[in-house]
Amino acid sequence: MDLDLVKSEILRDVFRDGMTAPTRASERPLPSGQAPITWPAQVLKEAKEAEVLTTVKTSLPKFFNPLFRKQNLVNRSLIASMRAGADGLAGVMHTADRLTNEMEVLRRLVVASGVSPDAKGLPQVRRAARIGEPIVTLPWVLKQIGRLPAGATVLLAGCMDNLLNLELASLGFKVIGVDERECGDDHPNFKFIEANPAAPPLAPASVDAVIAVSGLGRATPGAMTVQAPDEADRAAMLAWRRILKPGGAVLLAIPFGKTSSTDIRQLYDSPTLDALLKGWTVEVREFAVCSPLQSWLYPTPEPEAGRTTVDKAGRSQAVALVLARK
Amino acid sequence: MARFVMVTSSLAPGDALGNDIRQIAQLLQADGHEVKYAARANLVPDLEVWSLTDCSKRLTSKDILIYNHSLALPDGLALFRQHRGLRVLRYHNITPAELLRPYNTELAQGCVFGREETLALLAAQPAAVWATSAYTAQELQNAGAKISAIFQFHMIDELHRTPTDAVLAASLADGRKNILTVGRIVPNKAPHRLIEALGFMKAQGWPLPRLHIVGKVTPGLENYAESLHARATELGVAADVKIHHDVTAGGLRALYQNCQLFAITSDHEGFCVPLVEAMSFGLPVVALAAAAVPETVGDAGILWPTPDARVWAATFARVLRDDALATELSSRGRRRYAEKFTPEKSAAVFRAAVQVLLAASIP
Repeated sequence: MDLDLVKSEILRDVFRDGMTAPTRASERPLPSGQAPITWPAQVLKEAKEAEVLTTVKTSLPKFFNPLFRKQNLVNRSLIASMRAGADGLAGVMHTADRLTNEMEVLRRLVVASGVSPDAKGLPQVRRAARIGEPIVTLPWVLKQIGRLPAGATVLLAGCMDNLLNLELASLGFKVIGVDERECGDDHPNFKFIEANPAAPPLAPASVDAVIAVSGLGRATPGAMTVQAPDEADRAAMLAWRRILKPGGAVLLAIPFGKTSSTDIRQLYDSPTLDALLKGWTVEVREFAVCSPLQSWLYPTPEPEAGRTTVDKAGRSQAVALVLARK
Repeated sequence: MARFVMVTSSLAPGDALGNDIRQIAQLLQADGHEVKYAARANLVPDLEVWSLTDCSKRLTSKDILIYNHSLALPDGLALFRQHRGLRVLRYHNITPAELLRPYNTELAQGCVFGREETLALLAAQPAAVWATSAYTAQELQNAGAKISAIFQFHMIDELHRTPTDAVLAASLADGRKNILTVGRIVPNKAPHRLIEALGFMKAQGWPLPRLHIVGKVTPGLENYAESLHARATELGVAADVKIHHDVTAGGLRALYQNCQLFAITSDHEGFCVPLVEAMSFGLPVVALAAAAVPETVGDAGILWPTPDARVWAATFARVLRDDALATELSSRGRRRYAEKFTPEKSAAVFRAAVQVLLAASIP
């Protein structure tokens, strides 16, 4: 028997005759008493203007409602279960997944989408967001950005999972985002290059600054490597140095603290950080730590940051914030 | 005779990884070698298993370490690196992180780490690298590895010897057709696609088979397992989908013997033992042509490059109503099993690989 012939007959039946799609329960009218969630008119109006807003608008109720019912907003398995039911949110969640703290990017997306700050649940989301490194690292970048010349060309090593690319572009910087997947952002001052952020394919001495901070992608020194983080990170630092103009700056947020050899995530400590920055002129070397109350505190003395360890999820509880020049 | 130490993340009865390790150990023991196990977790009763810490203390440079790599295990990697004797990398497979990420970011991250550890293990220059399929071998070759042998063990003989669960068998023999899929209930194996296909069959008004999904729920992916129920309810086929989380060996045999079709829609398989089990029972196979599945099925089943639910629904309907086609697929499956995947075939490849390894150990 010729199985290829059988397969062609099956395909012919499917595509010649067509097939009736199943009726899904969710397409049926809602039971009485179960009102659909209504959104503020302003949100609906803005939602028409951009597809991403439409996604956020239609998907947020599905995503957040179960969260409201449970108080533990940072329970990762709960978040994952929300994900399973949030088909339309897939794109947003895919972005969120790649962040150190998903809630932070969600909060930022919610704010950027124009959803009313009074929307149910947003305060909880805001509280949950404060535990992630990006709550301190991204504002720190904005704080330091004044050290760069106006309109400087800035490379974002890892640009997919943040809004920093658009924020900097909106401030007038010429932003080049390098990541392994298209981030989909569009701005006259923003250019995307699909490449390894740790080895950006740019001409030597072509950018004024390189930004690589926690939550921005895989190029963050120490963020993803298990073994010998110094080797991979030194290679990235060399690659960034090559494309920096003389006097150009690298802005880094580096997981910091003490680790044992069995920890899945290896952190930088003072000696390894010194080694990483050898040959650079360090202009800013600051630290932030996550307090036991799960709020990030900045600035924090280096010895205090150095006493922190990774938590059970492998997250660092301290971060070194460094601006160094070529 | 040598002492082999089998290192793995976990040992559990009934899963492909554990079965493979136990079979390797049994063959080595049958050939007069001593075998020790070391694992982070052991769920096999009455089996002496060292902790990885104990293992690092007890290993000597005369031991041959077989490192079974299937997920991130930093202390295992450290053990592998520090061992001064012969080291074998036994690579099973690591799920691509992007398939798990929508459901559990931590598990996905573990896969990322696992793949990074693959590179670190290869960088440690093992004396031999054993893969489970040409597909997994290619993955390692892409990373610069030289593959020493390709084989996969299973416990199908034992399954055929297990007494059938008569109650389950009787419940299946009620005249209604049954479709079977076997494998951990995880997104990368994608059994939800089979539910979608069932939904299409129902929408066409075709005779509706029961769908049996057999597999354990992976901790951390309970949400995916729950989504299967939701999807079946959504499509109005909840009563036709039977999910068996804790099926016994006798129950599994009853299902293989009494179902009329075996289907796999997995996006990623390093080999897929259940496919071979199905072929050994003469169950017609319909499978998604992804990862190692095409090389396992060969010409013994219907392979589709698409998970399109319409195509799968039409295929199920055709196989279930076309007795001649079902018989042809059944005999092809049995033949392929006999020609390619009997324990004797795997044992021959394995023993040759061990001989090469032992020859290399002679100074």
